[in-house]
Amino acid sequence: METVRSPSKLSNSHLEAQKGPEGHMVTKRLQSELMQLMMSSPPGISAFPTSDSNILEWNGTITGPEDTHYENLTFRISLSFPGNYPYAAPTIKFVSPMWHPNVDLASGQICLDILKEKWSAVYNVQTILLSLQSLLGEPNNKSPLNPYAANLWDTNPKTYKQKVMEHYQEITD
Amino acid sequence: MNKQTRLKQVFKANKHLNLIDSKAWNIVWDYLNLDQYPLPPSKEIKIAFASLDPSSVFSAYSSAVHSHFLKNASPLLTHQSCDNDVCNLANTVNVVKVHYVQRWIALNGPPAHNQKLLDACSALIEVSLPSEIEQMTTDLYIHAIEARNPERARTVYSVFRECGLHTFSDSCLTSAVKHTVTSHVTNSYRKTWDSSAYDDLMYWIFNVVVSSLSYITDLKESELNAVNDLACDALAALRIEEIYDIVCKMPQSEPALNDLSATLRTPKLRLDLVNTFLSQSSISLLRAGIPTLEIICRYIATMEAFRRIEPRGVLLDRVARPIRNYLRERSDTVSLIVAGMLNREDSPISYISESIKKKQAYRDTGDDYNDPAWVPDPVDAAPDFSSSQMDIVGSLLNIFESNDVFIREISNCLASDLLKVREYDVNTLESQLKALRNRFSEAAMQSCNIMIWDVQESAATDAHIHQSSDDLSVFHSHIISRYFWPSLKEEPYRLPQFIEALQEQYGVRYSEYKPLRKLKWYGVGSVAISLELQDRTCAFNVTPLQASFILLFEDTAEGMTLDTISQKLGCTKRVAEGAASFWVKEGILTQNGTIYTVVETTQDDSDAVMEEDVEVEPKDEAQELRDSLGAFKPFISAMLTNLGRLPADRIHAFLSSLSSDENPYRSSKQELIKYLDMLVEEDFLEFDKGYKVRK
Repeated sequence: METVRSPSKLSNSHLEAQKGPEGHMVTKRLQSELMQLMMSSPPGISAFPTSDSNILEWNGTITGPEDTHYENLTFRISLSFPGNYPYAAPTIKFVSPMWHPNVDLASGQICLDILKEKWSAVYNVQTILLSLQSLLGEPNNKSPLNPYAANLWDTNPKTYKQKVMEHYQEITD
Repeated sequence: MNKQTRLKQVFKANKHLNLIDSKAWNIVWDYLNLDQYPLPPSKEIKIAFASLDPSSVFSAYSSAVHSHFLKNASPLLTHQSCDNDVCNLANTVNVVKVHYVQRWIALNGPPAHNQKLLDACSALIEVSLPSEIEQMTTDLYIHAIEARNPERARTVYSVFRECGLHTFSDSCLTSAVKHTVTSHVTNSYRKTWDSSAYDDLMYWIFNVVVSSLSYITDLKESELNAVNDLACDALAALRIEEIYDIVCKMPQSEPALNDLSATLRTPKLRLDLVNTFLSQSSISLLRAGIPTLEIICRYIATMEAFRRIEPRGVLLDRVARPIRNYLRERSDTVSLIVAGMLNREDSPISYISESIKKKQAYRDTGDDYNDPAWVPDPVDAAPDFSSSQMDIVGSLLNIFESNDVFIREISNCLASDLLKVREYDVNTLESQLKALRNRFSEAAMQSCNIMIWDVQESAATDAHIHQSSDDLSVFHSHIISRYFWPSLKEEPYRLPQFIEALQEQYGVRYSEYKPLRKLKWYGVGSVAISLELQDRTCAFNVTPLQASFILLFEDTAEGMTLDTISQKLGCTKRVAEGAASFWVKEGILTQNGTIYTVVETTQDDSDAVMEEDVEVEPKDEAQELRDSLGAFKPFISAMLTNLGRLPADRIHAFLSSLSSDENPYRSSKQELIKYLDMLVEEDFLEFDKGYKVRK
């Protein structure tokens, strides 16, 4: 077992972290996660760092799962990793407009427990993306960020789908 | 301050002033003048002193010493210590002490006054020593102990001692010993668990620490013991800190566990050990991401390790509880343990099947108070701690309160194994079962026994049925007692017609053999088939479903969709898909979109050879590019999917920055561009002012 670092020691800001020894750990971890993601290339999800100089910022792409309102639709997300990752959760947002009970339409913020209080260092980019993908088909309507969407999901699937398509923007360059 | 003024001060302070013979007083006071170098007193001075009241002189002298010290000696000491040399400082301290004390002692006054003056002096010196001197002295001692050259330390130690600075000096020496021992233990023994550190440490203590110490000071036996205890505690603290890793490294780390067992002397250390292990294991082991099997392996290692540390099992009892509670929540715990007990080849804990064979005596008689060697459980034992000695299997079974879950799982495993058995050969399974009888009661094993018996009985029945007719060919059956077997999971599907005919015929014969009984068929068991393809013949042992599935392809060269197949088999699409993926994996079928077709010839066909003949040169270059850059295709694809259109420059820069030891990127930009253009030709990418993934 490697030495377990106490998370409290790691509350550095991004820049510091990138230089310090912990920053090296973040870089290594993210590099190996990227490698793992590339090797397995799970269908419908994908992610990549936005620039070769900063591995803490990634873009991701999620394709809606089959037999859901989001089937065949593709959405862009942004992933931002803190300097003490994986001891703290990355910040993840939808960049594409997203009509979904647990996503704030305006800001793209996502309400998902594993990205907040249930975060654990065993999660990685791949599990996050898979969780997000399944969130599309199984929203948690108990704590919606978009109550209108939550309401429609239960009562009027047809209008729901219409709304999804209304806000959907295909990814262009 | 001149003599006169000082005298006035003293006069003011002293009530006995009027009684003092002023001449004798003057003589003595001249002698005691602190601005002079101390010389031995003359006879005259001694006589003068004898005529005076020693208490008055002493109290006058004490206050003179006090003010003189603060004015002169204090700054001197402070200034000295800035030179970073403890030896010089010790000399100065000595000079200061002599300066104030010697002239008084030479007067031969009452010994109580001497002692009082000495104490006052030591107190003044100690207060004047700046804070860093403590660290410096400690460092000097550390150096002395480690370098085995304690000459200077010895001098300093004895000076301080003579000057009455025992407490100060001893506390420095103690922290020096502590520091030396702790850093030696950490540096020499950290992560070295494959040999005993204890003996080595004791040798080092005796030969290095004790020998240096006894040169510096006279060691008493109690102090010797204290040094030994200190070493033990330091080693215990190190091993406690590493405990989880040590447990993980079993059995190579056994010497480290022996160390721990030898050094774990106090209840506090025992508590530390338990708490450290609990917190480390809850961080590293008891979490969602760890496979159940790994937790079971660690649980076994924990048991072995803590038994070694403390055979009585009190500590084990405390550390194992959380792991047991956690394992109870995992749904696959039982099946994994049973797989181990039944010695399944793919189970990494199959070695526990060895220990199963040993009879386990369930001897939990409680406390036997007639036993003269009886001792109470230690204070840290849990209230419900029982000292029964359980082996590994016992402890694994102990995870759950009742054995029922295991019995159920064992009969499930046995059922599926028995149904796969060919030729009714149950010997291996029977002997495995026999071993389990040591652990479970006969009543609990009853259904398992009946299942074995059923299969043996089926053999006789089957032989009889085959005797009376030979048109049943290779069709055999297991006749099972429904009441004792676990209910068989069955997805409905249709067996091929000729099999159904055989079943019917078999059933008729059976009813003739055993009147008033009827067979109800289940589509489980195993089928030996051999597939004749154009270029090869393959033999398989498969399930009846898989066999029925492949049989559908017997007469047709065309492919079939899953819909057609599931319709023909009369089963759900999901069931058909399971069978299909088996045959695709075996390389008998190939999936093209939704269509499954038979692979009549294996892949290395003549097409490839022809291609090679036609275009040797370009193929080589393309192949080379594929070899060197193929591994990066997923990277390129992910990069372009997530970042949009990118020029070759950016892609090249990205790949270079992501290059790692396992996956090095060595291509030049030109090679990359050639490869990217190849991908464009293959319609994987498109190019327009930058590359982009084609949708």
